[in-house]
Amino acid sequence: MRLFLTMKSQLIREALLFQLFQQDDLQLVGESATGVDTLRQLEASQANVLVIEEDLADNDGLTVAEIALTQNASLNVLLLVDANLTQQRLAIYLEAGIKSVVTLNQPLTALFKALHYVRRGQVFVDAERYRAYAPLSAAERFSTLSEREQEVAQLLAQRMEAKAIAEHLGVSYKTVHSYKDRIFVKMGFERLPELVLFMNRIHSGVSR
Amino acid sequence: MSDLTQVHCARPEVLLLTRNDAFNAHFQAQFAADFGITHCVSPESACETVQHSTSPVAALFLAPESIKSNEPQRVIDAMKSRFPESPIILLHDNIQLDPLIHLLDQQNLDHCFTWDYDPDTLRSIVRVASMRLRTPVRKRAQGTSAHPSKQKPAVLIVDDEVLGTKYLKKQLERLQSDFDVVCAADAEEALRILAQQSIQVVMTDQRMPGMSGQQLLNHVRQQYPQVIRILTSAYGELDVALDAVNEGRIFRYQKKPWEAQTVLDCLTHALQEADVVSHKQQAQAEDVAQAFETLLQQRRDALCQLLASLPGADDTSAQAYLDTMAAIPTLSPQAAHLRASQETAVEQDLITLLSEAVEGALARLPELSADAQGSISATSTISAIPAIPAISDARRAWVDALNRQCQRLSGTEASDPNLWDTMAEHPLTLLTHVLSPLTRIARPFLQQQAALIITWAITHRLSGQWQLTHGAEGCILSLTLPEQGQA
Repeated sequence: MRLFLTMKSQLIREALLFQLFQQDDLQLVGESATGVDTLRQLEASQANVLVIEEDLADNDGLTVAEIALTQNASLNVLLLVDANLTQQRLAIYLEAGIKSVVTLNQPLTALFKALHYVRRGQVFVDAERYRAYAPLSAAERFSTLSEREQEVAQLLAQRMEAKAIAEHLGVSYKTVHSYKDRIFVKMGFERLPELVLFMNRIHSGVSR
Repeated sequence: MSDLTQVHCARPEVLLLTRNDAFNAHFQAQFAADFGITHCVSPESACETVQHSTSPVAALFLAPESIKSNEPQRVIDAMKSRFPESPIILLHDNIQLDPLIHLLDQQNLDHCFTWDYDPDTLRSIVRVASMRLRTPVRKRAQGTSAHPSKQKPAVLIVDDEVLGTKYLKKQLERLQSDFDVVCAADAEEALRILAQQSIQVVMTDQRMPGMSGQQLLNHVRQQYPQVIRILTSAYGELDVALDAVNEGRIFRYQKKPWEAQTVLDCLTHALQEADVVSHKQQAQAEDVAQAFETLLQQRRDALCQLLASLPGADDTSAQAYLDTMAAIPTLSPQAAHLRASQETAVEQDLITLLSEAVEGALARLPELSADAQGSISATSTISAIPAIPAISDARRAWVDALNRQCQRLSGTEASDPNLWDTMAEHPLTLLTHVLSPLTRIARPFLQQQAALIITWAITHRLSGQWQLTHGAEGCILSLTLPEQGQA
């Protein structure tokens, strides 16, 4: 994926890039804070994916994306928008040629998921956003783990090495790994930092 | 909110035709939270449902016992006539290439997945389809004989076996004279040709050095959606065919080795389809352009009223301002803009927010009466102005305001006290303006357009010249204030 990232805040842009670089097969070919600058750089960058925030200091990201698409129709655009995205707005975005829309109050995993489809040129609408019922809270999801899995999750979140966990619990190294795999599958994690964040939220009682 | 909007805030309705109870249970468990699922066991009841459904059916899922079964044909026909834009999705645990090719020939499916499909992909397809249902459905254009460009249509054949293509081209040219045949040896060459000349149909081999045929077709779908796509292959690779159907949205899958007559039939069908598609697109584009023209006239009237009400302006000067803006090119209107203008408050917001911004800024300025006008020179600096006793405070306040707006427009923070005089050196980038197709009123857009109007109003009030011209670098705003004598 040849990514071009346009976000007005450098801090948030960099934080996002740190996360994205943990994904394999990503090449950052350009980044920018403004729309005009994005359009200036985009063609030479040969990006195939543009992730762009709608609210930019100089323009609105959708207009910038539309202009970029008239120059290169096979550019895959993911738009980051404000919290209040109605289905009506979403229809407008998709009609404008945007492949996927992620709101700024969705979790990071939602962006990864959308990117997974967008980079292959597919349109992606996250159905979870439109479901009527509330998703399980972190604490509720945690309680679906077995006692031993919960224990291992705690230790992993404290950044304890698998070998040390094995010694601590008096089980084999292999067993710890299979616990870890099960935790990741059940919770839908892909990387350790997700587990660390999840456990920290549970401990601080700020779980959502 | 209109009825249409409400329908689409609800769960999309889908139809599942299957006799397999286990599959139905699995499907329900996966998607009951996302779609309203009507399960039918027989094609008869499915037809019933399609024909009498009160809400639109966003997708038809077929999970037949045998992929070769002709049973669902009636349901497919019913769907095509009542909900032509809704996708038909085949789900089967044992898809074989030949029946798949046959279904594709019949144009009986839009998507096809094995049972290990990605549920999120299906959810996404249905969500998008349900949004598309909102657009009034346009009937397929009739009478597709005349090609719009009147030029002979062209077919592009892409294959790394250069001799084979050369021979096929000769044969095709001997058999007919309705279309031209162009050849490319790989995907890169094909894309170069597509960029240079008008091509109606691309037929590509799957296995080529570099970009594969399927990748090429996926690319063509995005870059040239009106081009009809055909994949050919000597290898019976099912997953390639499935990807080509689902991602490249191919028209046909043509097995190799070719027989010139079979290829000719296939290409003739494809050219007919190209004609239908191009007519449809042209008609849609004309519809959009026409509808936008009407909207734009209404917007112009409202803007004219707003501009003419500003101090020193009248109908004529307001129209002149709008004519200037109209000459600055922007995006051409698309369905998305039309929807935003018709179904959201964009048009209203534009006028309200713009007049608030402009009137607010001008209301803060002192009244500039005729006898208060002092002399001012376009070449003088603000710091020099106080030295000219005849210049009134009121007039200075207006010039200050003009300077502030120029600062905002050029994005400079420099406190150049006479920025308006050098505006010609700061090209403005106007990606959109008040007469462009809009999808929402963004704050930066509003600020820029308001600033532009304020400079216009102030320059006019000071009896100066306001000019905006479009150049390669951007728009050049030049302001000249009169070098007048003592009041």
